Amino acid sequence: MTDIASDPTIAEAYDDVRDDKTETNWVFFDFASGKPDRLKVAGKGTGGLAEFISNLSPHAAGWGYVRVPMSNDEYSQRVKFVLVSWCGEHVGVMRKAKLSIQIADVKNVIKSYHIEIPANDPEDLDENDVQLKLKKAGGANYDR
Amino acid sequence: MEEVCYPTNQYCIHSSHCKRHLILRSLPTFPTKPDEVNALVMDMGTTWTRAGYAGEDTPKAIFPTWVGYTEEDVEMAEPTGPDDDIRMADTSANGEAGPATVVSAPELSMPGKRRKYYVGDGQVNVWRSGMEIMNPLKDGLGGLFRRFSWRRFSTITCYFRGEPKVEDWEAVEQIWNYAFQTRLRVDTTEHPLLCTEPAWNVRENREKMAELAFEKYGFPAFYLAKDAVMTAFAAGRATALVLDSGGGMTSAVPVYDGYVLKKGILRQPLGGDFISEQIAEQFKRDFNIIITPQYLVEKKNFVDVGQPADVKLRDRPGTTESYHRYQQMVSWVAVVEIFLTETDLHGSMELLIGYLPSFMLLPPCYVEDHHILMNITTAVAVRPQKPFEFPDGYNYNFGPERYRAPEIMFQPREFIFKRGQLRRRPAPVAFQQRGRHRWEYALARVYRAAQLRSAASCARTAISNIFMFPHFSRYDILFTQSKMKIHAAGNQTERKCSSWLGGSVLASLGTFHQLWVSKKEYEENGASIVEKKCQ
Repeated sequence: MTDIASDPTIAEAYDDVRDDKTETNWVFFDFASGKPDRLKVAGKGTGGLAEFISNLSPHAAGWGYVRVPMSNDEYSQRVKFVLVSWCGEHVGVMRKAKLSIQIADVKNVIKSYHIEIPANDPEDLDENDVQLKLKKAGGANYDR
Repeated sequence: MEEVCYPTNQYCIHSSHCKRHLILRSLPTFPTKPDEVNALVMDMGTTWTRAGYAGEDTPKAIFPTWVGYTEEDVEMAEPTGPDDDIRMADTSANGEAGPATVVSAPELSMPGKRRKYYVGDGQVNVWRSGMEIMNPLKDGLGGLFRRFSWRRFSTITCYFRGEPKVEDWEAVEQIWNYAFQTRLRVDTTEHPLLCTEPAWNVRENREKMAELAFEKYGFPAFYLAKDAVMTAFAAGRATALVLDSGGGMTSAVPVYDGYVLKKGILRQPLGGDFISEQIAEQFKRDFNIIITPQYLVEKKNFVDVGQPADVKLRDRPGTTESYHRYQQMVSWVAVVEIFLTETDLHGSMELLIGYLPSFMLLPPCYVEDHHILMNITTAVAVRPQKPFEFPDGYNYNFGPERYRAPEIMFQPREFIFKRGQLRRRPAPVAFQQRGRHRWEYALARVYRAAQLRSAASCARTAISNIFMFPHFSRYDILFTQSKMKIHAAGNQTERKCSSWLGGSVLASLGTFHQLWVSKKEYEENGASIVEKKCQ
């Protein structure tokens, strides 16, 4: 079975988001229209989670990689990476069902992320929820 | 060398001691290339059976899991030759209209008699004198549990679905015959078979199914997948709490990373069939009518709303009790369908969302008598009434009565009409509670309990998706309270066939081909290989 994430631009976009020197902080991978088993870069930008969410459509299914700044207090600024599995509500059954299997190939390219969020609706990616999930995944928290 | 694990295809960190790696290292000798193989997927539920080809998005054959049979005399008790064994159904354009497949089962019938089977919607519902109806997944339950008294049940160890008696395998075989020969018309020796099983299936059943597949039908490869895992895949997730409210049973099964957490499974026999029975009781009690099944009605006359029926009944001598019960159940289900239409439930669930924090503790929808949540009660009362006409002509406009029966799912104690009837059924839920022998659990508590039990054994953050995969309930709600989201596919077919769909996707994967149990392995190792490989 061919690897769906074998396009080199995907790896490049992944590195771009992770790179501290560039402003890019989100990228979205979608299925190429002619080839249902290939991913291509569908969008990237510098607007953060908000811009990423506005880019999602209920007819699309794919994965997104977002860079989210997080801080427990005003002195420490950290950067966290979120892998979003996006499956729009109007996506067909077979496409939706295959996502859970194809994610493994995606993870071979997108090797490190702090949390993974499956999302069907923009509400799933609410800023506060994402921050809370990051905080919970972040290990010991002595603030509470 | 990196080794990937089924089913999520991810790199497994457990290396040598992981069971999954052991499985992958033994590659079966499978003759054809993975891309060319077209597997069959068979998902047999308590009420409906779904069968079709892998890779498609709907099953080609959906028919009830009921088998009718008549016994007829044969003149001479000849031993049947190999040609007589299975006669293919007529290759007419409409497969269902063909004659029944005839399988002589000399060890089951009385000597001098032969059984003729009828499977499928068009066959089972036709009235025939002396036809008995059986269901392989329902019979054999009562007998098994009548031995136990309620007092002895302090811990729950029993399985009660999927435990057919030896004779009931005959019904399973007939269903398979119908699915593969009449509906799908395949040569079973050319396609691998993926079958689904309930998460709590016992070893004997698994082995028996493997035996059936390899020896009787000659499938080249076979696999048994858990239906809850298949549903999770169909929804695009490998981790989920799958809620299945079907005809026979309601269950909550936690799936983590493609594996079922057996300790977290909760289930009870409060399902669609039970609600149908309760509706029948409600009619008897509140309206004083007994629902007449369609097959008994010869002629009905028009009556006004609420008037008793004016009907002429057919004379049907030789109707067996099992057939009558089956037809009654079918007619109850028709009533239930009209009681629970999607649009109405969607509306009532909107009311639910306003009471989120108390969902788990308080029932969502009081219909009568209760003063708490008054505005819900009044909201339900002002909903438009729905008219419904019964097969015998009695018709009525139903309003709040419609909501009573489904409320059983949420508040069993309050709404069950005839508790005595329930007591005769095997009921204990796989839920340990010391000193208490509770046997009815509201749906909310089932979810909650399953969630807690499964959360104890794995990270809480993992279980954040709950999928409803019901055949009966049609709730379409989204909650975000305490990070619990309930997904229910809006499309009815998708929801009913979700476990079939997951099987279809799985069987069409290239990497899955390493995991089939091939005929050669079965012959070398025996039926126990299924227990080892199909986890």
